[in-house]
Amino acid sequence: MDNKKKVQTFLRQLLADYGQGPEFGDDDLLVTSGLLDSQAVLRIVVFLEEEFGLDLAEQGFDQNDVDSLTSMMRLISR
Amino acid sequence: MGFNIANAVYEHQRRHPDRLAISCEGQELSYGELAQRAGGVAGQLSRSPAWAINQGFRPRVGILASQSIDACTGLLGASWAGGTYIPISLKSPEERLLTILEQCQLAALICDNRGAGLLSEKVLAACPPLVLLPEPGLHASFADAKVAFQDLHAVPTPSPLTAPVQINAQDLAYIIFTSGTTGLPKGVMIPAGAIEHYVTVLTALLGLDADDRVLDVSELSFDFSVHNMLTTWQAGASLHILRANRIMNVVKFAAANRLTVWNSVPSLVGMLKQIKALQPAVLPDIRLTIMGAEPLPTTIVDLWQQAAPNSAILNLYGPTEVTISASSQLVTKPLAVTPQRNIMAIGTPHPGLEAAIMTADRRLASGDQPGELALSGPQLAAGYLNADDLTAARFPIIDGKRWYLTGDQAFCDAAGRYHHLGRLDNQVKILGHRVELEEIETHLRELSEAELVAAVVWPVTDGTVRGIVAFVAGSLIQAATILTGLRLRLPAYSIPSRIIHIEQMPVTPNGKQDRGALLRILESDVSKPA
Repeated sequence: MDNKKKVQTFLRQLLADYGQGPEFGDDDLLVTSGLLDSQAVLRIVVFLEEEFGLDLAEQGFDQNDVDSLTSMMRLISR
Repeated sequence: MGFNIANAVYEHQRRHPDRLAISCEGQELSYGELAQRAGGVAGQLSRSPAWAINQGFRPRVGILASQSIDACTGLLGASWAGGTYIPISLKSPEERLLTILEQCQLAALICDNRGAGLLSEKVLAACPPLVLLPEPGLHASFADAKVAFQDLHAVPTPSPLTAPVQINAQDLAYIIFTSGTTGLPKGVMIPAGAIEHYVTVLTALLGLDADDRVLDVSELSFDFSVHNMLTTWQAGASLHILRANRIMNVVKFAAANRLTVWNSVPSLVGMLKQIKALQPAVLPDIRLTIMGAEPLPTTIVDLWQQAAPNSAILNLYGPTEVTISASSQLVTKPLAVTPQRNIMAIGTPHPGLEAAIMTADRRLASGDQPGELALSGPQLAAGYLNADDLTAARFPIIDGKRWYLTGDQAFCDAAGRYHHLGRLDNQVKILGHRVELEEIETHLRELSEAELVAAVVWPVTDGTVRGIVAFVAGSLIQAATILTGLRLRLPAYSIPSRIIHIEQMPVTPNGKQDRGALLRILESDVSKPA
């Protein structure tokens, strides 16, 4: 599975856990829009660290980096 | 004589109208502008026919708004006109909203943009005769002519501004709803005298001044918000609101805005640690930190002292029923730690309040004997809305004095400091929100058609509850269906992260759900994804 698919699959499951539908656009803001909450942000961070070996302490956390699929892909490829 | 929670804003707009009062999402209002808007809302309310109807209590105004300038001007305006304000959580599903509207006999409802988005046809049908909202035109087509929609921003302000109506100490300033064990939320009624006492005591305790820039991340339906607003405005300082949907950027927000005072629940700090947002000395401008609404673990104290090295830390404790907080403990070396729990002591009662430890038969405990913490004094709530029996049970008169029985287990140490030992019932705190596990179970029972159900807190890390897991025994209803039903009835923070079907509910010798056994099921199951 390519990286984008992996993140997409993870986000679909996360949205389902929040009682949301599985469809979302690459640029949809999933957190700022209120679809997901701060607990979900924690799960996203843990997922990105474990799956892609990111070290957010090095980069400095910015919520914008984990708000949409596009921003997460940008973070992964940094 | 009398009091109004809008008095401070009124006084500061007279003395220095240009000073910053509030900032939210790039919008800033000075004390002069905030007072003009709140005075305008007060004028609209007091001219409405419903305001003149004597129902035997002060006119009540629902505030279906939160973390916005409109929310603040709404509650200030309602108070200014002499009303009682009632925040209604924007996270309320429709059924809960309708339950609250039915209980309150409102004279008016004030919405911000997000609140207006919750005005479904069912909700509109339950609305009071006057609704103030930012864009009234959007609702003009609503067929039921018994509701008048007016523009929240229309400011036919009298000049000079009329002073806030002074209300009696026993009249209600606000009513805040919290979780109730029966499945119905309960409204805690706070009189003007209680909040006046709170503001006076906290002003002396905190020592804020007009140059302070204060963080506010609290929903309006959570009484920490009252603390944030009123202590800030009493000092003539500025309030900086960061909405929940941006909360994980709070460190950047506080640093960029050079905030000097941090108000939050301890679990927020735990979450910031997990996302690696707390680097050493990342918040050098913070000079005072107020943590409340949850036990304060010593691990959080350590983290915070590194992240905000120039800040004093004050731990506040208290139930909504005793007006926001009833005791405080300043963090000093050596730490005043509660034995075996690794949390900070909850400290000594605020001046004017009395604390006592009650034995099971309601006598005063002696020495450091543990028991139920009871509180007395001018900050006690008037009771619960439309629930006299519950009020009598939780606010008993013992030896001629009125007490509130907190349901918290505690003891008093030799230095006179109180220590929190946990709950005597099944109330838990999720990100500071009070949640009665029985409330969730009441709905679980109905939705799962199972007799034996249980909600437990899981996981708990750094002494902080991270979520809820539900068990249903012998139910044929699918977990997803039960969850969908819960989402229609309960606020988001109360929704279990998963529902587990079991064949038999483990029970204790006296027939209750054995929560310990359920936790052991979860502990043996940690390898599976949540």
